[in-house]
Amino acid sequence: MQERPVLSDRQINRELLDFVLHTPIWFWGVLMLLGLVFGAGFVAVVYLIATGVGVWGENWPVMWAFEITNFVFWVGISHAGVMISAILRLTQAEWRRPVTRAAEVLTVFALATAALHPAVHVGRFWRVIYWVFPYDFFRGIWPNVRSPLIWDPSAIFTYLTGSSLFIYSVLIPDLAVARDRSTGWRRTFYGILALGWRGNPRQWRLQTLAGILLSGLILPVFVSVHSIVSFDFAMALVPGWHSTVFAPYFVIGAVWSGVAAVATLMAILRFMFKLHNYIRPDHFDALGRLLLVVGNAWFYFFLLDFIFGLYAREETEVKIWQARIFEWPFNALFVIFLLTAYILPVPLLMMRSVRRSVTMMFLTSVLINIGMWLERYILIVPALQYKQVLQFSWSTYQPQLPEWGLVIGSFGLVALGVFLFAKIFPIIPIYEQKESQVFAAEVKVGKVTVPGVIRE
Amino acid sequence: MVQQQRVRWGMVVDLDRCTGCQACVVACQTENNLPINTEDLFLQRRAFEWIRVERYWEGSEYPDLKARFLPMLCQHCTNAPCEPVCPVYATHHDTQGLNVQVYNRCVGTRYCQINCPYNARMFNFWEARWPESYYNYLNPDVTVRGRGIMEKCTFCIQRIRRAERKARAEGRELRDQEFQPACAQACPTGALVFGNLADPTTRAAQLARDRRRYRVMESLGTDPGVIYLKKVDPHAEEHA
Amino acid sequence: MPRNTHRAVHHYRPHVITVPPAQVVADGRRLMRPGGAYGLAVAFFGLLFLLGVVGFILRLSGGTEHRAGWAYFAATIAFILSTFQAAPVVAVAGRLAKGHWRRPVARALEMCSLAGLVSVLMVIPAALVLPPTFGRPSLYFDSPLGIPLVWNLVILGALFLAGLGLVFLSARPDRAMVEASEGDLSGAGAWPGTTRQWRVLEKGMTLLSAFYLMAYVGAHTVFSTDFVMSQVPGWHSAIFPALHGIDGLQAGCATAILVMALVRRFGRLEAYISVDPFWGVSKLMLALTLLWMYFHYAEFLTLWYGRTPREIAVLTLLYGGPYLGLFIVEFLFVWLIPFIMLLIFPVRRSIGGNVVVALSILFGLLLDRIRLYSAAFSVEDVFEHMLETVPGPYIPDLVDIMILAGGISGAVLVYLLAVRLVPLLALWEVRQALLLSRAIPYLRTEATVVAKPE
Repeated sequence: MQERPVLSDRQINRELLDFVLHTPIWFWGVLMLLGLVFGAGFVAVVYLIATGVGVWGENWPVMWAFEITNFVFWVGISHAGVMISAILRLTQAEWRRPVTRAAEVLTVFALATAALHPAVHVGRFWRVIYWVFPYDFFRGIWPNVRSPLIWDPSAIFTYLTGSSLFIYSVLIPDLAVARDRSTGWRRTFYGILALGWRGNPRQWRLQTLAGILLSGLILPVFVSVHSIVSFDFAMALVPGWHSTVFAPYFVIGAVWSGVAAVATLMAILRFMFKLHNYIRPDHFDALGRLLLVVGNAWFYFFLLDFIFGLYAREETEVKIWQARIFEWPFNALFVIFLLTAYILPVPLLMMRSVRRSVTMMFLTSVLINIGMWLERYILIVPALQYKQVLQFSWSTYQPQLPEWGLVIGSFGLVALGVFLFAKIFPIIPIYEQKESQVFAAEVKVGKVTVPGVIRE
Repeated sequence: MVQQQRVRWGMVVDLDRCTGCQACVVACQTENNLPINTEDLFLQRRAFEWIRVERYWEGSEYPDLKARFLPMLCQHCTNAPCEPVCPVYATHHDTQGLNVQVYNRCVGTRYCQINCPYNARMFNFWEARWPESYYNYLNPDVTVRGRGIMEKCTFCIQRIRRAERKARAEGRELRDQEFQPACAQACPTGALVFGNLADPTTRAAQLARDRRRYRVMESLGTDPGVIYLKKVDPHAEEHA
Repeated sequence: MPRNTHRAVHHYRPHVITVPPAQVVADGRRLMRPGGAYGLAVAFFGLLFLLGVVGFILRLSGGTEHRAGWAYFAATIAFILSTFQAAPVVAVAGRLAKGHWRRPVARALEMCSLAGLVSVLMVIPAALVLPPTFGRPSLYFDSPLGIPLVWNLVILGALFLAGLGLVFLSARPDRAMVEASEGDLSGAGAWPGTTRQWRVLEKGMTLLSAFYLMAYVGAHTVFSTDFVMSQVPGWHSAIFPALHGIDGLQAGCATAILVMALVRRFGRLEAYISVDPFWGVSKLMLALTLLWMYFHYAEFLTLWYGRTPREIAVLTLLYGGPYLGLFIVEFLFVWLIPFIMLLIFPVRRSIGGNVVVALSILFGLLLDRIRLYSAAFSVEDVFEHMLETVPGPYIPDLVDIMILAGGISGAVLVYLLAVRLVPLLALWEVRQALLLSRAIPYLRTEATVVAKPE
């Protein structure tokens, strides 16, 4: 049964704005810690750009490894926001309410972090602008639109713009609440951002319409972004990469890892900000059921990739799958990947008690993301190590310290971004909570009173 | 209007003549200002070899053990997989059938190497350094590449251009075998023959019509400009 | 200038069924005793089905050597798999997502799965026509256990049985209710409707629903690989089974729209089925239409970009060569027309508009199945490494049309016969809806409340 606390408007305002308007002492501690983690990454990247790509473990022919794995991983995480915000908003699912903004914020920062990776991994970072910017810079040569590496930044920047607009436009009513309850420079800051929100019916109508339109418009972007990232691999002639299924496989994998990341984030937020009234076990239950469907769909696409990779029984592709499953270190990684990405989480998620336990959902979602990071690594590196029939050129790969620094630093950057956002703006949408109070209704069925919701 | 291509630079590699001596590798390195490959670089799998001699062992035990050599270089494919994937057009095809690498344009995304089925492309992971005295030996006709740039065999395009300029100055056509890339020039057995494959009278074009001809990974449809001639097996009846 | 907000604004709200419970049972009884047009329909489809059987016998007498002649036979199975057997997925998805809009239409859609009987029967001769799987890429990797007949029967049988289970399990309370209302209480002993029975029923429905989904996906994977992809040398496409399934889901939504419209019209169920289910399925149909393009484009782009001779041959066979005209027409009906029409909101939230879109999609899907299976079955040598010569287009003869019409009619016939056994309206689900959805006064207007007991 759901427990739905009855909360007054004043209580909602106070509790959700508490962290925004007042700074507890532990804020500085967490900020320093996250700053250190991010700093490690920053130092690693500066070292890389100053010295050269040689500080990484990449060699000939394994020229993409950790940085591209991490890139794909973060783009994957960024799909959570749209999945939850847009689709659940369009289907009017009640349980989205506390989750949407946090998911969207995770999207924006994960995507921005991901976008940094292709920029820093190139040999000549200072020339990246030629690559990305759609202009011929007086040289008469435009970017090569036939290259998947041009489709990438187009998709990512579209998604980034769309997500940012989405977050901002649904943030406006909450900014007005913050404006009305703060003084001094804070009031001015929120006042400017709130764009003069007064909360009259006309504005609410426009706000709702904007939310629905943006949700609908961002859905095609959501599907296309990770498909385009997958095209980096699918378009290449590398056996093991040149598979038609990569587009939907990557997208569903992104949703799997992204929604799991949202579950992790919700558990952390609930613990950190004491949001027990707002992030309840039934939210984790609903997230868990969504995860169950997505996880199984993901496994189907993984099986498609696996079975039909071997289907043609071409020597090169068989060798790559052999390497992925039987050769060290990929054999161990493959086992861990299967365990953490499917075999452990899915049966766990089938149990109601696990879905309703915040700790278990936190652990399960972390497992899923470990598995998905490994999935990308196993996809990318063995295929490059054993590329094509010229065995003399085959190689191995060992990651070096700057690459680990990059990976760890990326987690720090995303965490820092989300944390700072939660400090400046309320992380749980205030007006959505008030709306859910209004929409809550009860239905008497015989002798039982069942909680219901008013449908628009 | 489609014109018959008048020049298509290509190379014929006769595997029956190749002894695996690697004179071609050294010559290429000197001609094209490649960094010196130390043992460390080889162990890191970052050695620069625009032409490399791949060695495959056939058989299991002496005296049945044989070494087979395959000189592998950029194949200058007509349908080059490396060309469409470069985001900045740093690699493209010119009208003479060469796959051209524009160092200045290259950002270093390394996608071209990933897409090259022959692994013919090298990346400058570090800034190139030579011993102090060696700087006098660098070839002034060839750019020294900085770090972060992809490079590969160019069929010694500097020699092609020089020969073309000379022929134009003397008001005549280029003659066959008038010039050669460094690898072909250094090969002691004449296993590497360079020439204009579009002109049927050149030595390269004639050799390319030999019945031993094949191209590496032909089924990929890349249409390479490097044609290999199969090694003759003197014990064919035993192995059949 | 602010609008006058005191005027009562016509605001759409979800439809609430207000039929009294006894009337629901009476309607269920009425649906099980159809008259008039029903007899005509049975006669018509029965006749077409017999023609189809005749066609099958004619084709069988021609032998199984000329594989191309069996293309339409396989295409008919694929069409049924993609339409009749995909429509229940809409109801099943609605049940698993606990959407209330599915309640009045769930039974009518789940009954479509019974057409699986026809596909199970038809797959037997179709699988015997296939060339042996040894020596060519297949799902079975040269295993001696790899007999397409066995595995196709298993998976299609599982799909049919899951649908059968869904229909007859959920029909138990309904049949008991109808019989009781007629005074026949003999069956009441089997279904007194205890709490435990209801719980088992609901759990069973959930499990069967999940199983149906898995079987649907499995059926498309196995069938499309065995009958299409593995017969075209050099075609290694991991997305194709999923593509075949997604095309099926799009057509399943179209079939659902058509079935819902027909049941509403001929069953006189306007009080139960409002525009809500159509609107809901229409949104799904739009999403799946977009996904049609997405999956086809993903496959096309990967093969086109690779530019290897093997891939170019496959693209020529399927798209650019002998079936180019057919593909263009198919593209128009299965994508362009539905996409443009479904973008228009009044089309999505109407019954007539959705029916037009559904008919367009069904026609386009038929052409798509014909294209794929004609192409696959007309390949001469399935054992070569890549497609060396692209075969010409296969032109159907009268027997092919008879088989196609007969197969589809058989599926419709099974559905019509089932109407007499099981009420088209899921009586117990609708009566649950009566309890769980209410119209309540809200401020100056009315609102719909939906109870969420879970």
